[in-house]
Amino acid sequence: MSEARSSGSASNPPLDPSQVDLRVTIGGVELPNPVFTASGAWGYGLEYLDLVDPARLGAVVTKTITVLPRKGNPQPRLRELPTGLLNSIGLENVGLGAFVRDKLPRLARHEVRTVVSLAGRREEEFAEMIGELSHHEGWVGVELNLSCPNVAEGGLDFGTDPRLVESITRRARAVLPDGKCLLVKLTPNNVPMATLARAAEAGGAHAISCINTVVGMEIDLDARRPVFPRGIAGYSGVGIKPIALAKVWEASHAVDIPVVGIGGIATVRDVLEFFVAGASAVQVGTALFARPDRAHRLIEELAAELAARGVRRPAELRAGD
Amino acid sequence: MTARIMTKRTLTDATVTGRRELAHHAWLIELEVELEAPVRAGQFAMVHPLEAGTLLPRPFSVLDHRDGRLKLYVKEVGAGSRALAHTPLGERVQVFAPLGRSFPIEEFRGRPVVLVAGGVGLVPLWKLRSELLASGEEVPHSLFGARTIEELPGELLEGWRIHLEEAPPSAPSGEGSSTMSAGGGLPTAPTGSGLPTAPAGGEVEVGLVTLHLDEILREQPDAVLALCGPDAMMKAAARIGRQRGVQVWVCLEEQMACGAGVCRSCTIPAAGGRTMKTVCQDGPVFSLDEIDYV
Ligand SMILES: Cc1cc2nc3c(=O)[nH]c(=O)nc-3n(C[C@H](O)[C@H](O)[C@H](O)COP(=O)(O)OP(=O)(O)OC[C@H]3O[C@@H](n4cnc5c(N)ncnc54)[C@H](O)[C@@H]3O)c2cc1C
Ligand SMILES: Cc1cc2nc3c(=O)[nH]c(=O)nc-3n(C[C@H](O)[C@H](O)[C@H](O)COP(=O)(O)O)c2cc1C
Ligand code: FES
Repeated sequence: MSEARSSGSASNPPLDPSQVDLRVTIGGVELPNPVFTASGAWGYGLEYLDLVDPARLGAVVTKTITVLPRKGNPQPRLRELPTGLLNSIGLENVGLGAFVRDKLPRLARHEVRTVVSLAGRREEEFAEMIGELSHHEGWVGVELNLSCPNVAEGGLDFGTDPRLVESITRRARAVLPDGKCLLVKLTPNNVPMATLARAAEAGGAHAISCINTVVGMEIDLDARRPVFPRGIAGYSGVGIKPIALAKVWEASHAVDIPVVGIGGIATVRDVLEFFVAGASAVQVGTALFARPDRAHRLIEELAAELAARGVRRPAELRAGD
Repeated sequence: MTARIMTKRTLTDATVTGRRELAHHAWLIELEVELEAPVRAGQFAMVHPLEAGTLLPRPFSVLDHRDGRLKLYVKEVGAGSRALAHTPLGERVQVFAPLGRSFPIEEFRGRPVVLVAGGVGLVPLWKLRSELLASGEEVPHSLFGARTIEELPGELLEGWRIHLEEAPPSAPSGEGSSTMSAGGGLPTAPTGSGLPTAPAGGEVEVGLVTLHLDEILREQPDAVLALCGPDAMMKAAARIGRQRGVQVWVCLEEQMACGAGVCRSCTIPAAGGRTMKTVCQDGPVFSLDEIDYV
């Protein structure tokens, strides 16, 4: 690490884009580039086949899957703010059974590097779901969603207790088949990121996904109550980028495993900033709603941008301490 | 039930080639854009002004698309619609289209189709009407409701029977009149306002658009009723249709982010309430028996 950190000064002569190496390895899984789609922002990876090839992405992180299908929360579910979105979708998803039956075979056929986002209601459920997944092809890893603010049970409750983060991660790692990677997605809310990241690392995570949405609220002034029935909702998009950068910085200084930066990424500059803050890869969420091919564009722009800066590998951008 | 037809969508930049105010703060917008699939009545486009726009694109029903020209009818209600309505000619906007499920026009063949539209709900039904007429079908009743005369997009209303909630100030039969026949002189917008008048040949009446619906459906028991407009209007019309036992189709609106079934922000309960449907992909056109609506 220290060697990589010292190189990559701003004065490097430009390179040819073909000299740039975008590959990133997470827990023994090699990915061709460090740009993924974030959970909840690109469905199950199969929704835009008429526009772009999902196999060109570093990875696709699926909508979070639960054991049983979920209907999600009542309307309103989404509000647009000048600086981002507030959402309260409530983990609506098809459930694990339908996912492995209907989605995984197609993901395998299209050679998508799928990271399956998982949420459990009980501590053991995460490992049980991995057990079920291990009978099927079509995925390269899992991301434990220990950070959803939009469900009454699980989610944030698990994700704010470092002991639970560690034990859930450990159980998941114990049943994870060889050759698959284990990401743990953490919340920026309530608990220091360093504490949570260390807990996940101690439990055997291969990488930290950082961050899930920030808890937020919108008020209906006329009605004198919150807009969302649950009160709180998840804040995402450009407005959370500074928060995400700070959390990525904190996490990457606390652990030795890779950190995957998430939060408000929309441009190639944003991607580079996350690398400087200590991320090894990034996920694009909210920005995909306006442009579903945005992550694909970022991959192309990334090679060109790094070459122009004379940077051979994203890791060289990381700031010194 | 009709199977959903998955059409190839196009995500591209389009040039604004026309903009004209047809009614108060409501614009006919023409975009130059090649789409890879034809657009059917009820389908919509996610449109995103690239400069000074909102974070997310906005959904707009397609009024017409032919020869690389996409026509929308956009009412200004907030930042997104205003940005689109005021994008100068020659500037570019992002278009993602066609999206959603159209009216199953094949199922309507040979049956009297009754259209009830309110406000910008006119757009999908205007297209449905022109598709039906173009294929030789009859559309015996096309009803359009608006609050005031200033909301009438004159040139789109040929062949529509107009219902106004408020009597126009220049109503020919004087204040307090509740009906006006087309023959008796059409109401016009206040002079000097620059707003269009009701179309010649159209019929105008003061009262809710659902006023005569029951009567119409009683005489046409095999009718198909297609609705698009404000929620209260659609619900009232849908109830009448259901009571008369005719087949009812509604074209719905919901807050959208992706327009593609991905973000799950536009969901409504399916019939029975156990599962959800997306307005953007399972709809926006629904048969009344698919959803928990009235
Ligand atoms: C499938 C579909 C098709 C549509 N077709 C058309 C169309 O052909 N023409 C058209 O003009 N609009 C159409 N709409 C509605 C259009 O998408 C909204 O008006 C637009 O998204 C509002 O965005 P905004 O940023 O301008 O306003 P916002 O800032 O989102 O809203 C501003 C205010 O207006 C209210 N509002 C939002 N939508 C409406 C509405 N439809 N009518 C009245 N008030 C509203 C909001 O509650 C808010 O108070 C369609 C919507 C859907 C889902
Ligand atoms: C509509 C929506 C749905 C989301 N659903 C999930 C989800 O199911 N699981 C999850 O881990 N994160 C979910 N997220 C959070 C994103 O994956 C991401 O962590 C967050 O939005 C910050 O990134 P962004 O600013 O790029 O969107 C969702 C976000 C949005 C906006
Ligand atoms: S708008 Fe995203 S699911 Fe309908």
